[in-house]
Amino acid sequence: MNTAATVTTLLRDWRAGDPGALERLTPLVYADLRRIAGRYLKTERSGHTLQATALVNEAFLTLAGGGLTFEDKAHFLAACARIMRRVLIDHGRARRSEKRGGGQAAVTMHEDRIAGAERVDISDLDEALSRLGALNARKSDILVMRYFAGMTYDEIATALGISAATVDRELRFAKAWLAHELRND
Amino acid sequence: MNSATIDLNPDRWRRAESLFEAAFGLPADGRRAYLAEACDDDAELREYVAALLESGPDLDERLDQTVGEAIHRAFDESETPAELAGEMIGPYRVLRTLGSGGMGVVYLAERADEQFDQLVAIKVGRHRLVDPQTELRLKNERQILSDLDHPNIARLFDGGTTRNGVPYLVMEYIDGIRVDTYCDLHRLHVRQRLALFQTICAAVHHAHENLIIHRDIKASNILVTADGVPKLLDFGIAKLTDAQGEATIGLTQEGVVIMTPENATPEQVRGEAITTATDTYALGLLLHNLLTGVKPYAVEGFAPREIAQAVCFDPASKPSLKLEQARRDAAQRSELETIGRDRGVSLERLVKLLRGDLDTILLNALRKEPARRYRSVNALANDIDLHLKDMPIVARSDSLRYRAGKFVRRHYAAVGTAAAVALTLAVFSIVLTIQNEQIRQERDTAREVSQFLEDIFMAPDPTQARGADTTAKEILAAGENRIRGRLGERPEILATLLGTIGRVYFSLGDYQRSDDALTEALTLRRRIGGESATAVATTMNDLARTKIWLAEFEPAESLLYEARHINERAFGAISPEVAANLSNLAELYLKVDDLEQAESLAEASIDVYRQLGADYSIELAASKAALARILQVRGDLDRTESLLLDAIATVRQSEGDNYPAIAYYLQNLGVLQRFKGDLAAAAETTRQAVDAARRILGEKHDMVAATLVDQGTLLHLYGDHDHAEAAMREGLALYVETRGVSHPSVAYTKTVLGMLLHDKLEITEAETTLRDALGIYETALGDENQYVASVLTELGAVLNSDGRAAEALPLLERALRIRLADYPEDHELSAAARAEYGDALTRLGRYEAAERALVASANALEDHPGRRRQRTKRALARLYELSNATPAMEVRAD
Repeated sequence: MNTAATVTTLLRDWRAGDPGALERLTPLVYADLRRIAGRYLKTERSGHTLQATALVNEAFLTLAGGGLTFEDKAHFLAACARIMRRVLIDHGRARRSEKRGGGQAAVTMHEDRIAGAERVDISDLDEALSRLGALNARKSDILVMRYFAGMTYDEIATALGISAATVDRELRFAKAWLAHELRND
Repeated sequence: MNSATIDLNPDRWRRAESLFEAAFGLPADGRRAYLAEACDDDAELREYVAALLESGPDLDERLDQTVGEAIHRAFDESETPAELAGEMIGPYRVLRTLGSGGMGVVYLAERADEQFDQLVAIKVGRHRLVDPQTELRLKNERQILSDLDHPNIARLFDGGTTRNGVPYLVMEYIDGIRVDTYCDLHRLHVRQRLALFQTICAAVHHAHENLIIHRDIKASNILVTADGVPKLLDFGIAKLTDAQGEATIGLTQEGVVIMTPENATPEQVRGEAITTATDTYALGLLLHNLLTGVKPYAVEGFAPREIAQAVCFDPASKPSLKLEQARRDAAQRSELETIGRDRGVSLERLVKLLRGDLDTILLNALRKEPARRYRSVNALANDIDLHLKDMPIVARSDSLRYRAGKFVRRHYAAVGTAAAVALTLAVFSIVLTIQNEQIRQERDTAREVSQFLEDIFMAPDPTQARGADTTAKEILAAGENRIRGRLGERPEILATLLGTIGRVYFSLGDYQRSDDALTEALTLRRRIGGESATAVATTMNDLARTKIWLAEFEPAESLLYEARHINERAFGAISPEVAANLSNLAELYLKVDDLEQAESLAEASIDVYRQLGADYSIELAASKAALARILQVRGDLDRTESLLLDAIATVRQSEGDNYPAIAYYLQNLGVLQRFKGDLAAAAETTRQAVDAARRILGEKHDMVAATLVDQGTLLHLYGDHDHAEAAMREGLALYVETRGVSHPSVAYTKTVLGMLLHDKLEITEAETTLRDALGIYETALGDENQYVASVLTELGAVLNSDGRAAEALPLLERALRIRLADYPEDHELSAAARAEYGDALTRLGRYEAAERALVASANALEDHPGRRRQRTKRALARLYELSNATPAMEVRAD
């Protein structure tokens, strides 16, 4: 049994409504995402969503191979997006607790590098996405796919079984909402 | 105002959305007016939507950047440990970071109260403990680990949780370098590396004795101090950190995440229990790396899942082979030269050093199934010790693979390559992988494997009785159980493999087990039905063949006719399937003594194979050999001979001189020529048969013994008694070795040897030898067996020669009684017993009775040239001499 077959099977199970499939898929994808991410971090210092795009696409090629349909790929990327979100949030959470409890907490190395009022922490983003999810799960999903996996409209539309026009409309509102939320946080 | 706090119930949310959408399509200056009109009843909502719209055209870019940076930072932070230098952890002051990994960060620290002038390493986990019960459990396990006291294991001193609930462990600080780097830096030779590795094994074994498993043995966890002392770090820590992982995030359940995938063991990947065998495997990986400098599996550039796949399924190749292959690859050469240089030898030399014992030791430690690895780390270390002392290692002698290899070599010296042996065993491991593959593939695999098994285990002419080989049966029985256990749900594959096993049992001469397996296979096949009708016919044919040997002739007959019917409809009359049915029917009729039927069926099968052409020349030869056996019984010795010669020529032409059947056909031919009285031809043929058996089947094969005994018998006939005895004794020793002292073949050989010794006038030795034979036959075959009669006849003759006719007489009476139960009065065998009986009577002075017996024997033996007729004539001469009488009747024997 090859990796692509495993990934495909798990993806189909997940799509068919088996939430455990995503759990099983996570370690397959996660370790690879981490590995690729490490490399991107070394070469490119400016944060950009493009990075996530390249990252999950590479993960896709490595893990799923070339043999998958466009539909499979869309679902794979959607899964990656969810996994990335969860992983990063968990890490952020652990670090913050470390920082707060550590007495004369060391300043995060990157704090000085970030300028401007709009600096947002991953947990702020996560909480906003969760609030959005409670109001409208699909919009939250679309944002996660867009930001954590850099998916195209086409891919998002395929993964969710909606038209690209709907994606565009949903995303427009969701982004406006998110920008507003983050600004006012 | 903070519009973000606006309470959006679903209704309001939907309204906000549609207002937003409608307004968005308007020019910016028209939006407020629109909202004022469309949402005049809800000022709060109106303001909120207006705020969303205000975000402006560059919203996308700014938002993307903001979010992107947040994500990027999260990435970054997940890779970088917090800087804690100068901080206190418990009573320890952190000096600096030593390193970080998936499980946490390690700091160098010192005791702040300066009570002890000691540096420690503190490992701080990544995640906060959320569950007090987990904390308690960790504390207990920490206690167990801190009791572990060994000079090669870094001590665990202390542990606890930081103020914010993150667990930490305080360990002995080892100032050293990684074991692999150490070995390369000091250019340690293979033997030095092995010695260092043994020390590591001793430490691991000590921990195992204290019921502690390391779980994460790898080069980076073993440091060597400046004094050259290896120290294992993090003993049992993986379990603690695993537990922590579980307590906070659900990512570690698969284990793969935390482990470096290339260090993973098959059981870890599969999520099975972690045992001491897991450490054995990890030590195997470590040793592999220390000795070869390369990993057992290709890991560079592979995704973790692919590595996991390799770890679980790809058979590890011999380390020496791996290195040798890499050596031939020019692209890797420069890198590999470093490997040799670091070990103080050339690469060629390194390959030679690894070949043999070290290959075996590594492969044994790296077995996929934990239960098949070294039983303990100590056993692994012992084998290395034996290897260093140039003594035979243990892994070889008790591994199934090795025994299977021995078996194959014993039987097929010509084909028993290492690859073949590995494949033989693969038959049973395919059932592991089979479950995840496509049905079609499974079937192909099963067929391939079956074919291979048959090639290895089966003699082309199983009608030659062969010793049942215990080792082979062991392998088969184990395989059978596994197949049944795993393939119960897949009747077609199960049927295929059971069919194969049934055929293999047949060829090993275990007809009852063959019958069981094939009967079950047939039942399965019939249940599957449909397109597998021809598979049903094949199974029927095989089962019938087995039943013929079990003397269950009636069911065999109907199976064969039914199979022929199916095959004729499916493949036509001129097909190998039908020919096989005909050939088995011929064998059946030969057994039930319907020689006419047997002959015509054998002819028919030869005819079909002839029409099928060159592809079936082997089968054609087998059919000719079968016909030869029939004609031999019918007494057509000339045609028998030409058929056998034909069969031998056919096989030689299509398969060359090393095809196993050649040895059997030559042996048959030699016996036939001897019966024909063509002793010169028989001697030459038998010499060829001995050579062929040795060359093709191996020195220790039964067939070698059989042909040697034949050769001895011929030399006896020639009067070359000394060479005859040498050949017989060699055959005897081989039979004893391969079949055991109480096998009927041993008794047969002792019988002919006894006859020879008799003729050599070594009477005492002859008597002892024959009495041995008698005991074996009586026990194995019962008191009334014809073989018993043969020995009794010879023993009586020896006693006659020794002047103990009174002792001989009851034995000979008994021999005659046994003969006459199965043979007519004038049969050669009855006549022989009667002749010796007559001789005994002569010696006892009972001349009348003696004369009747001897004259009848002499007449019956008239057509049987050889030793027996001469003995009878001499006995008759003795009679007339002693009785001073003239012959009472004209004796045809001159």
